[in-house]
Amino acid sequence: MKKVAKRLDIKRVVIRSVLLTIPLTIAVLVATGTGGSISRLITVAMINLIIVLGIQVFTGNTGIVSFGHIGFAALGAYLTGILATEPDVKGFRIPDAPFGLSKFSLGPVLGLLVAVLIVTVLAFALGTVISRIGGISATMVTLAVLIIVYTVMNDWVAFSGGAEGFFGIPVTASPVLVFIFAVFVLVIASVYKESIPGLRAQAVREDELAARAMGVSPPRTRLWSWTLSAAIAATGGGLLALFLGSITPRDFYLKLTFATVAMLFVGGVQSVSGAVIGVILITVGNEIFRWLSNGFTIGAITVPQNPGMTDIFLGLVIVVTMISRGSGLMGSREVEDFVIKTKKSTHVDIAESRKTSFISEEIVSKTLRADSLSKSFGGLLAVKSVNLEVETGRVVGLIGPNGSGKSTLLNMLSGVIPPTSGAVLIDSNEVAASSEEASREGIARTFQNIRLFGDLTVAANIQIALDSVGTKRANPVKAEAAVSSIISKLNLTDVLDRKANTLPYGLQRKLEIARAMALMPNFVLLDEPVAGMNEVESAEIADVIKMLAEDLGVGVVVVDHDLPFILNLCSKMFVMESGKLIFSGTPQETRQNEAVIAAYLGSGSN
Amino acid sequence: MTEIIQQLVNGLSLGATYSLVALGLAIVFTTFGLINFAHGELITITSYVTYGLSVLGIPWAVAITGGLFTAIISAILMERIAFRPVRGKPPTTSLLTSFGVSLILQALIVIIVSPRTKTVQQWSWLGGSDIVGGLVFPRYQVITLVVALIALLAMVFTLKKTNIGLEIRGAAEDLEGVRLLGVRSGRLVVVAFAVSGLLAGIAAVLIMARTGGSINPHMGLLPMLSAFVAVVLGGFGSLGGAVLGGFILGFLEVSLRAWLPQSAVGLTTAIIFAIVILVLRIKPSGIMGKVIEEKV
Repeated sequence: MKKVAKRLDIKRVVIRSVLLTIPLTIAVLVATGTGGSISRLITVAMINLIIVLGIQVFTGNTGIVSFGHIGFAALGAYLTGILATEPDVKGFRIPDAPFGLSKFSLGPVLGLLVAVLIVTVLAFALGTVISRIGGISATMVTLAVLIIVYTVMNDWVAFSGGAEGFFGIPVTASPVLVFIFAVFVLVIASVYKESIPGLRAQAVREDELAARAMGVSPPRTRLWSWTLSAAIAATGGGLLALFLGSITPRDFYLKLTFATVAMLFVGGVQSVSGAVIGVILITVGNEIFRWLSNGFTIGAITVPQNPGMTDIFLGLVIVVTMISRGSGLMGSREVEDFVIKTKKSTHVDIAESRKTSFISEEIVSKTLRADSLSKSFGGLLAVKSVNLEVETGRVVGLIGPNGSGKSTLLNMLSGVIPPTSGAVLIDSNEVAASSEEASREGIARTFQNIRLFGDLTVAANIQIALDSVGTKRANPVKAEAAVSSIISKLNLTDVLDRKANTLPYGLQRKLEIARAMALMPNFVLLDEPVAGMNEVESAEIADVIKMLAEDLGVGVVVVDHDLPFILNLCSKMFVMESGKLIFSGTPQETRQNEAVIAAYLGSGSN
Repeated sequence: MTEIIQQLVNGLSLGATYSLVALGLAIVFTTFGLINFAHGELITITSYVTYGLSVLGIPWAVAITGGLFTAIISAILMERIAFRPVRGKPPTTSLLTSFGVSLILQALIVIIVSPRTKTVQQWSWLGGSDIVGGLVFPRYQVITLVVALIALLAMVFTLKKTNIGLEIRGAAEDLEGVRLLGVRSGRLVVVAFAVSGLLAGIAAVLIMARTGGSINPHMGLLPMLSAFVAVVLGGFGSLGGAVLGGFILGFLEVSLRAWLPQSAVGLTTAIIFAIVILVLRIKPSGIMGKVIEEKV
């Protein structure tokens, strides 16, 4: 039985790495062949690529712009420089360095290693703050990190040598060595993007709430991404110190920040290939404008020397990229997308997976209960002491007019919002009020306003859910077989390689159900699964829901406004009005109940 | 004791300046969703226009009026030319756009004027000090405090008592909601940018008073960064939080400069930003920030 999606698409990573190594190889050949200023330019560009890829690992996958990585590059450079330099050389610049730093030298190799290690630990500590903040505030904090590092390098003279910089570092990094590091980092960035940790970060970027409902912890995901990327940026900084032999705080401040931002975004921040393209474009463009800024004469027109020309170029590139597309030249595509044809990477065997329970061989019987759940927003009571119950293998319906509290109840059951009072229980065990916890306890859900990981493929959407709980359930092989069966039932097999946001509406709704089921839950909460669907599609969904309950033994709660659909499907109905449960009983009883009829007709809703 | 009172006045005065810058940032953020990295350049532009006009022999008071006017126009033009095209895109896109605008404006000043520091001839009275009850108060500090407080109070009045202020506060609460109520968000945005320009311009005049009229193409950077951090500290989306954050930052800066040993004074900014990060460790949404609950 094959997996829904491969954990890591090795072929993609290999083709991408090989293709992107081509321009780097040409560059390093030119660098070693020419020497002098061209060699220097190319090597610095490759070091910039390492730093840009470091930022890409964080910003590209989590969507949070970071300026702090230039600070990590600065720290990496300074620590490497100070650790690698011989004591007799250091004695001149920083005789009174703290920690006895001026008394010993680790040499370039160990120096770089220790420097990167120190920065990684520091970044991890900072990451515990930044990963919890997220969004645009996190970007502001990364800016603060950059300024802190710059100020320390500039003003802690005893440690860094101050604004005049630190020099006498042994020049040990050759263009070839930098090339090897660049290729290595290229592979790491590619592997990370295609691996489960990278996909999780992307899921959080696409939809934090949905990611949490799939058992992904946004802070933890961001923290790993942040730490890995800081280590890469520090390596770049360290190499720069070992290549140039002298560094100043200004080398790692706003100018480099602007340049790396331009490199990263003009190529496309979500694309590893885009980083390579961006570094090439900006380096070449910068050189042209630097040459122009020395002043030139065309015919009778003489343009005098203008020191600000390269800044104007960088600024214009950033503004034009943002205004025109925002996603850069590559978007989220990679070079290999132009080479390999997308094919059905997935084989789904339906026959094999018929009638396999997720949970284990024997039938598990559990009950999900809302125990007098209440929720008030401000002073407004949205849900008033509601009791609801669903057993595994059963389908229950929850109906009520708009604003009656159905979605709030569902949000409490799935841990999205904590109840004001009452509890969610599985059998007699209370489920903690968090999405991640609920998903781990076997409660999955879909959302009323579809929340997919839009920029990820259908397979990746499902794989993220599969992976967050997959191995913890009794029989992962059988479970994946069951998921494959659901995928084919929902007609998603042919679109596994497509991006979720390119699917038609109906398939998006189906994908949400498949993704929820990939959590292999005991219970699934479906928030308006057939909203906006035609009758044929509704019937398909009804079939799938029946299969979930009867064949897989899942307990299903369905919220919908389509009364014929829901009354045919469910064995028990719960009816809410104004936050209160006004009725529960069989569909038959529901049809005849006066209170229900009044609630529906009275509210003017259908 | 006397020193404490003098530092208190100094802290209030610097804090009030930061508050003006931070409030301008926050107003644009709440109505447009933009973190305007080029906000600092409004300070720079005001200063250079003031400089240019005084070089032409125009009296100081008229020159700063010209500077303020240019700041307002520049803010509106920034929005019209660079930010409107990225409206509605993710906040990252508009942030980076403003990042580029900032770079271009700094470079333009370098090219048109000079990369070097210039000095604006100011009203000489500002450079003096007054002695009150045995305490020496530099006039620029007192004037800065008075002007900044008047500007802040005028803003509070505008926000609380006028229609447009009500709309801006409404936008801070719920931008979509305000749009649905039929508020013309286009007009709101233009007003917000104009106000942010004016506030940055006033801050520029006060900063020049503080630095003795010394200006350079990158002078807007540090006040803007401090204001950014003030906004984050106070809580994104909270106008009151921005003002509070500005005062806290001003106080921290003045106290650290006064009490740190001479060798460590250079690290003031680093220490302040580190403190702010520690505060955010405890309260990620900032002091007055609300946890935004997404509609599910």
